[in-house]
Amino acid sequence: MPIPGSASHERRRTLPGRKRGDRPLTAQPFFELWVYLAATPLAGLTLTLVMYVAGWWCYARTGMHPLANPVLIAVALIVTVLVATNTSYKTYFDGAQFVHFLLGPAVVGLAVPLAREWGSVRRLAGPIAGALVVGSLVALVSAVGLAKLLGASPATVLSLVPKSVTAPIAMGIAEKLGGLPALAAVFAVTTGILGAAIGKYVLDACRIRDWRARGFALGLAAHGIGTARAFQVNAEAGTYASLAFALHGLLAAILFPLGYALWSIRA
Amino acid sequence: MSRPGGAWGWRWPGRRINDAAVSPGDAVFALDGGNRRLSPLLVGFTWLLLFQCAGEALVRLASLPVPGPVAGMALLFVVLLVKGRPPEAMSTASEGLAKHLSLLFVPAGVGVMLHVARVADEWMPIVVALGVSTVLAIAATALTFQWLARRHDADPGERES
Repeated sequence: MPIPGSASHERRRTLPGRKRGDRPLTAQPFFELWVYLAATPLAGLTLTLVMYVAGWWCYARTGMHPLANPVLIAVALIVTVLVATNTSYKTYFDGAQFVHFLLGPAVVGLAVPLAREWGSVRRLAGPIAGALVVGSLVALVSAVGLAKLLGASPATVLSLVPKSVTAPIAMGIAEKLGGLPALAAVFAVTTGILGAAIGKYVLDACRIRDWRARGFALGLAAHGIGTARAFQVNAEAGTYASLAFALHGLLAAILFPLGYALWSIRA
Repeated sequence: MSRPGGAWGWRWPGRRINDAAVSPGDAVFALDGGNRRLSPLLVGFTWLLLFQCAGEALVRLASLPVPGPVAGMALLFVVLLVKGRPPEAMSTASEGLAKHLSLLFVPAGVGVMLHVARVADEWMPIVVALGVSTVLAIAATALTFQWLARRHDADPGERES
């Protein structure tokens, strides 16, 4: 509480009035400053982090409700800001690429949980291999089949192939198949958000109580975003999610392009 | 976070260090001599980048059909299996990245802007394909895993004989 009559009280009272008077003078430099800042990588990078923090805040405020996914909120907010300020994705990505780049080392780092859990992976090799193959095939065949059936264009269908694989690997696979890498990344991120948001309800409906199975399913179907969600719910689920995420990425990166090559030779 | 084993985290083979030796006193030590010791996050991140570089080089040289980071992951995985336990610095870095994994997908997600026209034209097949296949994949994976794990847990005796 400022003491009435003190300097701070006076300043607070007079500042808004003075600012209002200055506005016609400051508008031009402010606009120039905005043009300058919007064109530097700083803007895109700051926007990404600020909106993610805002998304995380909403997520935490709702008690980590699966539908209040922080990635979804952040993407929606950023797209709104970019459209409202008429900023191109390219300008935004000049800054955001620094965050995007970290996906590479993050994928390399997946080897660490994989190696650490190698003992339990070997013990559970049967269930893991079975669930990996079945889940991967179901995700691939249902997405491609439905999209083709409903009349999607070939480029869209090819970009849907790696949708359950983490975005950087999905982009690589789509490129090898002749799809659109950027679209494949969007599909992968959408699938990740979707899986993290509805996974709980699907797993509850199927009466899956085993945390290993719940985590593995989230990591396989919803890659990194599902893995992040699994870690927030249960540590064991998180470990199995990162396992599924890593194994599915590795398997898909090797087998999807090979399978597609064989398929197109036959067709 | 003071772990004896050199700034680079790797240990010489044969030089085993007991984990129990790391006492709360080490934390004080780390603060004390912290200016000489590199942050484990920095060291681990450097290792991850080196393995990514190695992966990219391998993919280019052998023209493998996998993305560079995946080859880097495979290389690191093999090295870690040979070495045994992952070094502390590398765990710190990979866990740090994994903790904020969902943030890293935000720029790619914003890319939806570039494909607004395509998504608007084909929204129906895209929405149905993504929605239905995600539900099916989660259900199929979890049910298969649970079913196989129960069978696996049920006959451990058979495996011993």
